[in-house]
Amino acid sequence: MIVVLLSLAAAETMHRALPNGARVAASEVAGARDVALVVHVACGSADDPPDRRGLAHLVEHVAYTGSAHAPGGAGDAWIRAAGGETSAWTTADALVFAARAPREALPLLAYVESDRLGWPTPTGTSLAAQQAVVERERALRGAEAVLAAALGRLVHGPDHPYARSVLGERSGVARATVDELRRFTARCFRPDRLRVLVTGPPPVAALLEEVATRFAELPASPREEPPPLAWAPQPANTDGAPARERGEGPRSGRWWLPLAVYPPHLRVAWALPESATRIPLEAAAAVLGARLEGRGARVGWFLGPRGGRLELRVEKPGPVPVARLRAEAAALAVRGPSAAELAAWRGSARTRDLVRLEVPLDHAELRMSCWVEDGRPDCVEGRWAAREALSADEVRDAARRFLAWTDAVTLFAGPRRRLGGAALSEGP
Amino acid sequence: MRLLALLLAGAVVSGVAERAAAPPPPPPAPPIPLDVEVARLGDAGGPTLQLVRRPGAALARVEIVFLTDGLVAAGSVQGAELDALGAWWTERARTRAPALDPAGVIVSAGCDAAACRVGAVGPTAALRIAADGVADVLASDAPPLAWWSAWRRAAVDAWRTDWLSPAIVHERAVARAWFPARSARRRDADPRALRPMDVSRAASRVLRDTAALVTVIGDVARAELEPHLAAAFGRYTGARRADERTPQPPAAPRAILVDDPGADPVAVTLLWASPGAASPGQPGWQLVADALVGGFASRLNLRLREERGLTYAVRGSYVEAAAAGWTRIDTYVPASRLTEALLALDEELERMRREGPSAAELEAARSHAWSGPDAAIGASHEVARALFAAWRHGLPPAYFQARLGAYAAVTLDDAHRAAAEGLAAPRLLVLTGDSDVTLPAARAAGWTSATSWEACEAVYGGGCP
Repeated sequence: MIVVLLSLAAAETMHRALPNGARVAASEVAGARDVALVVHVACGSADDPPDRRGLAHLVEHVAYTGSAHAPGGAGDAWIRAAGGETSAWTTADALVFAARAPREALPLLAYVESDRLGWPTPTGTSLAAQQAVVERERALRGAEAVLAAALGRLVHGPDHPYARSVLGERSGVARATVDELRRFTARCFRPDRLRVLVTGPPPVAALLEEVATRFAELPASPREEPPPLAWAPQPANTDGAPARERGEGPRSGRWWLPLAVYPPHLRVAWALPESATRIPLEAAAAVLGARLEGRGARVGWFLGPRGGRLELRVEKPGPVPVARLRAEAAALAVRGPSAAELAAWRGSARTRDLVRLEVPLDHAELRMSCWVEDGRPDCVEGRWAAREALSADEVRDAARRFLAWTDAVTLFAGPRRRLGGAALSEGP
Repeated sequence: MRLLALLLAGAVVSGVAERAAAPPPPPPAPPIPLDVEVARLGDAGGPTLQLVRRPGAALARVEIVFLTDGLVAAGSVQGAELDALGAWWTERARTRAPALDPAGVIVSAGCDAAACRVGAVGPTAALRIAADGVADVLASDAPPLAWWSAWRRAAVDAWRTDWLSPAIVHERAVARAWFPARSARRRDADPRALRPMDVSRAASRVLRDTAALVTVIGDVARAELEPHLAAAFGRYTGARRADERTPQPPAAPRAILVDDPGADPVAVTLLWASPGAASPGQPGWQLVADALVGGFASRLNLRLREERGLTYAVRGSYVEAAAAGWTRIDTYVPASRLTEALLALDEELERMRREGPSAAELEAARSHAWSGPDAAIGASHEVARALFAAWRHGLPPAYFQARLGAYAAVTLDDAHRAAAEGLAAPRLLVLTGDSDVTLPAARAAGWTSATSWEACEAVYGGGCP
């Protein structure tokens, strides 16, 4: 076991690697009464079998119906009785399970969450109930899910995991069997795929010990690795001429998705390669977002192990400001940010981090996301330093490399065509 | 494959035998006491100041909130003017960002139906800068013509087409059915006739004629900060007006069916009258409401979501205005199962009314209350919100925390009585979906008194613009 103590101005953080392969970390939230526990499983909808799209998300749901030592949802009832709450979500790259409760309930949280992953017990009854719930979720998300999937296919290419909805396909979810769930969990709920992070009041060593004790009980991962993913990475858009010539990869240009959605949605999006580095991209997105905010546009982006995406989003009736979006993206790529814009980004980004670090659950989510990306749990503070060191030229270069208008996918979703462009049916 | 399954099963069984039982849930942890200093800013009866000291906190928050509810009720300000004012102050905060963000200060602003709020958060050392940023937004001149033209055009576009959004239609229908008098006044949300001077006029009335609360949270001593805050905000000496959030519950069960052709799923909302903030019945009903619809482990979610697959989630809220309260339940159900869902909701509400919560449900609700927003133990913006909620009702700042003690005193018999009384009031049902589906479903579920609205009637109170 390796115990690492990192004492920093913002929060004391410790981490440890367990003999079974799981990694556990603890971080201080001064003055907090509660603790938060976040478990990251490096397995998501990208790992769905081709004919069972939506299986990972279904596993997330079924995981809340009980486990061997906390059957029938007892674990969540215990946590609620202690004044806590649980939640979970699925992405293309991960299943994440989160819980919050008063400090005294940490041993219970660690027990329930470790049991959920170490001793899952899906049954036919629980599967059937959650298949119905997932269908209700699909119906609720409706048009937004269709839009996200269409955009993903255009930006990443039809076979890319980020082109698929986490909700999967109705047929895939409906046909899933208990055996398939068990195989998926056996493949994914391995300790060597787990990162566990607890946040709460000091002493941090006690937080770490209580959580590590429980997660150390998980059976060790089998020696053999699970079979590799069937999907192969696509070339980055800026280098992707061969991909485009083959009809694969991003489909830049204008597209119209006939969709009964109000207000109409405009998306301008770029694929980001796996090699993209976070901090310059974060700065470029923030500066662009600040310039466009007054025009009703927002910037969203993500970066994962398989690349990522940056989007400009406009959701309002009336004229569609494509020319303005293009002009701002081009200006950033040519001239970069001003010194004032860079200073504003540094200050506000740090404050936004501090706002999240105030609360145990937000703190845990923030620190976990950067632990996964940067490889160490004290990454939040490391990013502050990286932001201070970043130059305007580096931001300009990131914009130039990733936000070329010729690579942009422009998708308008609404009941009537507004921008021209080819019409999409189910997808490109 | 069978051998592998047997091996896996064996592994699970041996794992079950090796793990000790779960530790028992600990007793509920009491909230951290909220130490609030209260003062009046300035010499002329300025805003109330509530300061919460958090030693060692890296962040500080300062905000000022103006209660606009009474202004709208008195007809001094129109709804559209408040919308425009909120947008202008938001734009003003945005344009100040380049000067403030380097210090790590983020200013935000906005107006809703009840209040206008301008606040800032940033490092403790920059608290005075944050306060000045807030004051600067409040001191804004009339909006420039270029910004005004663009905003008004977008506002008119949005207002004209609001009836196309099923979510907006449903919310407006609920508001119109539950607050008919207030909704009649909100008909003045039409932005077409607005001019820039209307924004200035609205601002002056908000700043002059409403009560204001200044909240500061951080590692700061009142004595060193109060003079600065008095200089920034002491001039706002408006008086408190009556809270106009008085609902008009139906005298008998009533259904409003808003037609949204082809809609699937159907939006479902139930409302009924509940104890107000100062009512002796409030603590008991709070716990019953939590047992009924507080989170995914609550009774309605377990029955309708987990057991019957009728919905993705049942969400609820219990609002305690000063004079009266109400409870609201929201969910979406497939059109094909609407009758089943309505019957299931009625069945569960009646069961709760007859039997009350179980002992386990009551204890879970009590624990949940001690960890919820009333405990004011979370982020600074959550603390600020709890303080505002108490102040808005004319209650002392630690009212919600003090009430947590009342939760501890609620017995199972008390909870049963609270359920019987709290679920006796006639309910209002609002459905937004295809009328070919909602009308027969409502009737089949026993809703004999039903009124049909078109989408534009729900949004505008009349025809489409």
